[in-house]
Amino acid sequence: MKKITWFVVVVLIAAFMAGCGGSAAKGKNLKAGFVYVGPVGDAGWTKSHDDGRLAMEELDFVDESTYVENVPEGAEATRVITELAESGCDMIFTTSFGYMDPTLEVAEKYPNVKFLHATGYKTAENATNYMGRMYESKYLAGIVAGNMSKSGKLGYVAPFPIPEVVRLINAFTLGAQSVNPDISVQVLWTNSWFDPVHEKEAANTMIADGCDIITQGTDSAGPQEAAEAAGIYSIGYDSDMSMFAPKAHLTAPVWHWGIYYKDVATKIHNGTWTNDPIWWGIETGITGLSPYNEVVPQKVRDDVAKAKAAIIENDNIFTGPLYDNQGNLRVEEGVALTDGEKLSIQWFVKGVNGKIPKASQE
Amino acid sequence: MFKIKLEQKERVSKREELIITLSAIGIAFVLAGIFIALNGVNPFLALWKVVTSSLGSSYGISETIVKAIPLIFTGLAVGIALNSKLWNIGAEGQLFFGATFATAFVIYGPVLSKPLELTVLIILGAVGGALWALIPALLKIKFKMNEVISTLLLNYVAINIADYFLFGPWKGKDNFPYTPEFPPEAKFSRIGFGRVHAGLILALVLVVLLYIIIYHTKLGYKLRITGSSLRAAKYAGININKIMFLVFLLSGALAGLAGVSQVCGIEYKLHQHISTGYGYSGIIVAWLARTNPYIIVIFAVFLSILLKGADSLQIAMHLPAAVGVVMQALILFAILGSELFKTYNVKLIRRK
Repeated sequence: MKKITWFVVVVLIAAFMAGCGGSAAKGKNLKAGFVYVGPVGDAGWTKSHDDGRLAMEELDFVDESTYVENVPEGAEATRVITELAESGCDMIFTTSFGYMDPTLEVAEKYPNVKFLHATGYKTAENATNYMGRMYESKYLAGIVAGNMSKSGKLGYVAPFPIPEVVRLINAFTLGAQSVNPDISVQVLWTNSWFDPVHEKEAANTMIADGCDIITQGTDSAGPQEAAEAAGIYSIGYDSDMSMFAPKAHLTAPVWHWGIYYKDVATKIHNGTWTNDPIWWGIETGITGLSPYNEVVPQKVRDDVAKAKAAIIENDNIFTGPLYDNQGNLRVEEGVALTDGEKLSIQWFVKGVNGKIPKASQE
Repeated sequence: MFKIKLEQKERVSKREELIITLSAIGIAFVLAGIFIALNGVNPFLALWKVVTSSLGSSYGISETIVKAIPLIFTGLAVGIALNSKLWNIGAEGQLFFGATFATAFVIYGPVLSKPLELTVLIILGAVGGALWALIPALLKIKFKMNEVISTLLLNYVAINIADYFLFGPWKGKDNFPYTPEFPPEAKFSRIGFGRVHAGLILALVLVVLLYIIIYHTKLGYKLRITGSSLRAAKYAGININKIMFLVFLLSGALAGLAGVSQVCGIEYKLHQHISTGYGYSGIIVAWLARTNPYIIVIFAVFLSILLKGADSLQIAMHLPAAVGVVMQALILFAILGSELFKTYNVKLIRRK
């Protein structure tokens, strides 16, 4: 009996030590924490951030990075962000809009930690927000869709009616209409960032309704799979989704967060970081199109390249005359939306079939 | 060849019941340990991390309590119904409906003095939850509709009703689906220990109250008789429909209070994530506790430690978020499986 007890003790100690062995410090000096709204396996938004995290980890002075996935946007997030700060992170990235207030709340308590919030607008001494001008890549994807559609009806599976999403739907629509002015874009809301089943159903509804290209603002590959099964084309989002729809997937406007994450880590490391919010354009490479499907003709690729050069030259996507989908002139000829107007946009351009629910205080 | 033979047990002693429940939890832990080991992490270290992150610091303890509060409410909600062998799978929806009800008053009603405002919100939350439970209650009593299905499906309806308001009339200035922050009069006070709020006091008062009702009143007696045998209850002249009706309303009201406690106690606004499945976790809490309100508190804390610990495991050990969900599922699975051993003697018999 005694022998057995000893054996158990030895096994426990060995197991304990085996567990400790893995986390030996490499002698480098920054630790990063990430808060994700979906699972890293979402193949979309969260995966694009996780790819960025891994790219950042390659930097010599980034000791370690860790993440928490599926974090609800609310009081739960406050706890998770606090735990990351407590675990010794020097910089914490919170990657969804709903983390804005929790991020600022925790930032106040940990002045030595840098907090970086994606998609928001608030800042503090040690906190800022970051985003890329995804609407530029969405516009380019719209050009591809406009060229490849026969019915002229495109379907867009959309998460929330917030300005960010509305802006991207508008940009995609304008891109498609630059090829064919009669194109219409059907919008269906899922009211969730990540809901593969719901997203797929929304796509199927629009396919049945005659949409012959499906795209999305949501985070899962559900809509892509629906397009593949229906034998039509699709445009992915966030990350290259071609593996889920090898025939359907034409291209995807994607994020390359690693470019920003490496930059910000370097600046924090050498002490040049400031809390200026950033909204990087396509010229930095933070957004772009994923590799084309072989069915996309060379002419279309050339059109996209030309449009991209024009955007880099002069960000001209939201330039008047622009009408909303009720027929009102919203932007006069020769006038362009300011960044402030882009960030708060709450109307659809002409050709979008969709409604933005109204708040009662408006 | 062997075959398995089940023999009905005469009765189960409290001690035997406890041993079976604890072994079921033990088995769930062993299975979870295997799952964690398959992810390349030492399960003993993981368990240690879960315990220390939740109980190893005053911050950890306070956050464990914060997460246990809604679980106590939903545990009580499911538990009171289970006393009468009624399955309320709808605590999640009743939670949302109660929270929506209370939020409506914050948005449309006048701002009252704090004690009055909170009293109104608590009552409205309870009424909202009870109203939502009224539907399955009537369906069950009038049409003999199975309450498991009706309560479960009504969850989605309640959540969609909340969504309607969040995406439409109540959405805040960011155009994001959450209401503006509640005024200070509509917030539960904190009790001076981290983010722990007065919802805890309300929950504990209800625990004591329900214990007294269940075990020391005529109503509680009728309720338990209805649960142990419908026939016996009928013979005793108990109006079963009335009891079921009452139990449903009480259960819904308790779940509605979980919603009020979340929006007024910790979130300070209504949004889509005021509950991370507390209505469903409440089922596990109530089942583990064998519906005893005092023990519900213990298992609410137990489950809170596990759920919270799953986040800490991600941070410290890079385990996927699914670990927490898997743990919960394994416990429920083991507990439900262990029921067999409470009602039957299981024997292996050698076939000739």
